[in-house]
Amino acid sequence: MLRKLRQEISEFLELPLDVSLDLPKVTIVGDLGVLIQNHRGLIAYAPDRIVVGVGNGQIAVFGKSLEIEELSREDMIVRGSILSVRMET
Amino acid sequence: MARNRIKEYLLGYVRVEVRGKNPERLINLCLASGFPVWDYSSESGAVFFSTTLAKYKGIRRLARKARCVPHVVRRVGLPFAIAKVRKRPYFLLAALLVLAWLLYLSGSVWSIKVIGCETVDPGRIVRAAASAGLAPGARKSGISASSVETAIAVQVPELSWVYVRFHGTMAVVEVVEKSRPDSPGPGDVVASQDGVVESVLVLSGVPTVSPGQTVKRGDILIAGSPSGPMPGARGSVIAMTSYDVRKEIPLRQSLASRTGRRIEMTVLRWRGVELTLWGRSNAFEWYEVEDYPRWKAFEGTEYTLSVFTRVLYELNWEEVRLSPEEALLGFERKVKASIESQLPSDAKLVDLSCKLEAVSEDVVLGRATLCVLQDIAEVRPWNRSENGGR
Repeated sequence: MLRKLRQEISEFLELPLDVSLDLPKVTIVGDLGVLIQNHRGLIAYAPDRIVVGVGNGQIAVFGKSLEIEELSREDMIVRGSILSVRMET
Repeated sequence: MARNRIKEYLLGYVRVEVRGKNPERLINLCLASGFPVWDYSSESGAVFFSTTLAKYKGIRRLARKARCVPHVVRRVGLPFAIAKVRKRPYFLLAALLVLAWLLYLSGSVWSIKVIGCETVDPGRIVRAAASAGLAPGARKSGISASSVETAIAVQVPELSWVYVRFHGTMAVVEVVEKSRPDSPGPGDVVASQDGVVESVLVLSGVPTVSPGQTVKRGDILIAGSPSGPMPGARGSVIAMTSYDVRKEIPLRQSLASRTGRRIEMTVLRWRGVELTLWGRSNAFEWYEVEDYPRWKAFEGTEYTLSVFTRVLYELNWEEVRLSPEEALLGFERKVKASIESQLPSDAKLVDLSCKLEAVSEDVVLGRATLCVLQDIAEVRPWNRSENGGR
């Protein structure tokens, strides 16, 4: 209910939803890399699968030879051959 | 979130190997503590990541909390490089000595190159330069380019221009030789060809012909006077001259045409030696070659290194029988091309007419008549007895 209200206020004020609702933002660069912003930490890492915690679930990146090129409190850049990105809530 | 790789190198960073049941927990603890982590990967049961040198001690404390064992596998950056060099002072000293020696040697002249000599012996120029201090082994700072130029100009009077410059450790002496026009001694201006005079320009002497007059080869056009400030005749006489060209043209001819098949290869050439870098070798019996330059290094020196694409076009020879008219057209084209390359630059082709004089089964006789507007003036020097007689 509160979330719905916040969404409507954000839309009324034309604020970006990812900022106002604290949502993750995923940018995919071809099949070469994925930038995940506003994450909540690394849950599992394997060269073919990376699972990252986000506010209301997890984001799983599947691929080959996956590496975390950069990792900070909010951003994560995954490099490798990306096959799929899945949001699990 | 762009990484500053230069800053990482300057501050130094370590590549850490972590073994344990839950390395992801260590990573999350690092993130929560604000420790930077990058290049996270895994290999044979262990995970690897990079972090700054300053934060590594803090990571050891967090690793105990996450029940992981960290281990530094590689140290990268300026602090480690400095520490390595400080342990080897003689290596640093030797490197500095080599650098100083190179700097000293680069301040000397190692070789001298002379450009522009055609008739003058380059050895004379090198010796003249040596007398002004420019010689192999001399320090560049002690050489005055202008005094070397003056010394060369004075000692080699056949030169009209001298320029000295340094190209690294090589001194380049560029020269231009004096050019004297081949002017025969004083005499009369005579006709070098038969023709009809169109115009006469007299620089000295007395004209003996006028426009419209027909002259024969050897006729005096401008008579010179032995006395006066400018003895002898000078000038130009433009005349209409005509030439006759006769040639037998075979009617059966072999003509080459490109089949459309081609082979491309990339070739490296150095000092006349060619090496095919890649591409198929030649598989055609008859072909035309075209080279397209791609890259050159050390251009202008004898060590020019060039890479070019060589294209071989396959040719097919065909026996054709020309009609007399086609043979005449081909003859006209050949005469035009030949005339354009043979006529002097100031001559102008006014008229060209071609015709067949005789036709047989296999050969025709073509005749071309050309009218050319050209300068027919030529100085014929007086010989001693003639000069004395005039």
